[in-house]
Amino acid sequence: MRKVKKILRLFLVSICIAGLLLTSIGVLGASKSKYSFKLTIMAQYFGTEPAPSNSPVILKAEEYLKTDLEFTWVPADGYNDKLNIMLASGNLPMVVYVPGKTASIIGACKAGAFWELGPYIKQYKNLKAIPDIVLWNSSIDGKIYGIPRSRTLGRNGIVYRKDWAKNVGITKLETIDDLYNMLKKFTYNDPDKNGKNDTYGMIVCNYNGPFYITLTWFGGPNGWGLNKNGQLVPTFLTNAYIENLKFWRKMYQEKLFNHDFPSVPGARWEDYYSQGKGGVKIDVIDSANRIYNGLKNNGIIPKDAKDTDIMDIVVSVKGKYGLRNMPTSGYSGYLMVSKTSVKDMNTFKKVMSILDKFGDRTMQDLFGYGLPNRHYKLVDGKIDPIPNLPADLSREISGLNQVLHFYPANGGTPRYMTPLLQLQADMQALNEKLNILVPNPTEALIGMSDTYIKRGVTLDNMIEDARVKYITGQLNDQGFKKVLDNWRRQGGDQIIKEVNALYRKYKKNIPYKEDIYKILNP
Amino acid sequence: MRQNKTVASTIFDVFNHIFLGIWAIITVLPFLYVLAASFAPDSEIKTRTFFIIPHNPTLLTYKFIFASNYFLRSMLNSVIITVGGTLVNLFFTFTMAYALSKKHFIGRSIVLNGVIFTMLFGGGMIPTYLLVKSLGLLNSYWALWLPGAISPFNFFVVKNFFQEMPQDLEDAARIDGCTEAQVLWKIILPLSKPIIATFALFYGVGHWNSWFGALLYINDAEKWPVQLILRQIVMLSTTLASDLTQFDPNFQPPQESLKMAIIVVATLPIMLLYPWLQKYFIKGMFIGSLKE
Repeated sequence: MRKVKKILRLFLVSICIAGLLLTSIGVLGASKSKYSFKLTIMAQYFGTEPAPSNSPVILKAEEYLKTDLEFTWVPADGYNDKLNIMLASGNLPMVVYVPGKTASIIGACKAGAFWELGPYIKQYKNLKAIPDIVLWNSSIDGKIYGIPRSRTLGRNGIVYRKDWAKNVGITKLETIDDLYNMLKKFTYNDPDKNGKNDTYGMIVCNYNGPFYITLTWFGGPNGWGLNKNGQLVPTFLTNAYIENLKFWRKMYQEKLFNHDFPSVPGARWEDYYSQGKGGVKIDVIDSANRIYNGLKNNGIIPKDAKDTDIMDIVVSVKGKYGLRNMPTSGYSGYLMVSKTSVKDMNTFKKVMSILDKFGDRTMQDLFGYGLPNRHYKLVDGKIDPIPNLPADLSREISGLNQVLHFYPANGGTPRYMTPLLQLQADMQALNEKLNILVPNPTEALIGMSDTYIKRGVTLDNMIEDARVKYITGQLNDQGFKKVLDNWRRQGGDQIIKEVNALYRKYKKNIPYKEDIYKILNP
Repeated sequence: MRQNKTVASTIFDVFNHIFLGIWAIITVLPFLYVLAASFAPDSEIKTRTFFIIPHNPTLLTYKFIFASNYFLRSMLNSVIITVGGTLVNLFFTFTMAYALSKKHFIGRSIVLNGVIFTMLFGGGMIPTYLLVKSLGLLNSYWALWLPGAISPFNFFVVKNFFQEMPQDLEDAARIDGCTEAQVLWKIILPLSKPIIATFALFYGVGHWNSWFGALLYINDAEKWPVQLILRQIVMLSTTLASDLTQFDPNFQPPQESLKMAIIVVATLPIMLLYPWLQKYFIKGMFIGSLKE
């Protein structure tokens, strides 16, 4: 009897303790308020843990902005779920990071959940640096609802092992044929001189980027292009696409890249290069330095090997149509201002001016790199981040750069560059200077097509599946054609119709000349 | 004839042993690999395909995990969520099941039908979020405990178990002067230890493994359970690393060995509970499922 009473008491007491514990945590967590204005921000973070609210970096930023900052950190992986539910509940913080144009975001924008920034954005000294192209690409329904987070447009290129090229006697990489030749020699001529046939020309994974980059070399459009009749058509309905498919199938048959590519996950992709298994990577230029570091850490190359002796970069190779390359969309996600928690014009202007200040050099340095002599060192007045910071220190800046929009670009203190980092930066700039980037005219349009919203994913997968099967030889020309017919029947034709109607409607807003996205090989 | 039978049954036994043995190995091997990989340096995981004993064992990742108090705190959070949540679950499930196991309980069928209704139809994620929000539970563990306080399925098992208890026991207790509450606490619950242990384990494992509730309802990263962090790390190492690095120069994709070590740290505590509760576990399941 007593024992039972004891259990009962224990049970009730533990519930009470649990409750008390939680409320006390809640009280401790209640935030300080030093400034008259408080900005609440929801953002994603990568890595293991987000920055704590008492991080000296955040305190410093609050001092600079004269504003209390309150972050809600959401793990990158669950971000969309959380965002959708917060949207539905009408419970958004003032500034919200939005990763992309999902149907729910487009709906929310149309329903007026966010402030339209278009009319105001040019009034702010940093925000007015956002290029028109990026503004257009990031627009929803022809309007600007968010501050896009800047990304280099000319980020793609060809990265290759310079030491391998030397070993097999290659001196130039200018044309598609040069590249094909290089792949062949990297595969069969033992470029790493270990006496074994254990290398591939390139490594391919389940990510389709490389395929679409080479597509532009063959005169194909980026996503969609303009045909002779002034109609927009998707890439896979062009000759360039078929030519590119055949090029890839040939490379596959000659084993110039790994045959297990559909099952290689994107995250493992670069590992193969760091292990010295592949020589050419058609992808983002900034992978050169990561591959170099990987090779060094894995002991494949000597520790004192000069980085520019190991890796080299070209922006593109020439085909029948000259130099062409695929750009990025120029942004990755937005910062939007919610109407539920920013109700009046005055608050809105206040929020915008704070967001504008995020582009100031002080803020870009703080949130981008942390504090000098704590998170980075200044070398010749340039920022050199300290590698392998202890967990407590690296945590202080974790995720903070996710709320930066990086406008104006290079607005922060420049980063200290090794020769290879410098080469990467130069090549990215060259991409834009050469005027070889083929823009995607439907970047902003496709999300407005009702049929695409409903069936786009299924239809895209259909093409992707056929593409892989064609390259691996499981599908012949006729089979591929059948898939295209299917695509048309199951909504593709409707999408083409809708996209073209939208194109006619918004044509005047698109800040490119039409020539630049004409299909050269229709 | 007799000999034949023995041969057949011997063959059967041998086959059975081999089959179950292989099955056991298949089940255990991945765990052993994860355990071994958590002690191996990253370069070894990438170069060797499968191993049980690492060539160059190292404690580096474990040092990393326990160097920052973030992981330890998230473990503590998980413990609080699991213990608190399980107590709440047991309290509500058993009290409700006891009351509804009595045939003379007024309105019994209405309530029971109500419970069945929730098994078939749910409000969905958004209405639940709205409810939790307007109850003011956001950012507190009650948001994780209350909405799922009673699992209808578990409730019915417990209710059936109570119904099968001999009525005489209760009558005797009542003659000795017990009130309803006393009957439950002093007579019924002590007899229900196996089923309590079973459902404590069910609920406990559920709480320990869940992460989605915390993602939705808990904004404060300091209150997150270890599973949320585990998931973030595992998922990050499968997304395209190069896509993340342009924005985050400080970002390094989580190492393979770190992923393994966190899996070990996050699963070990709950796995250690099994042997401790196992003797009740089997008994409890059978008691609940018996029908007269």
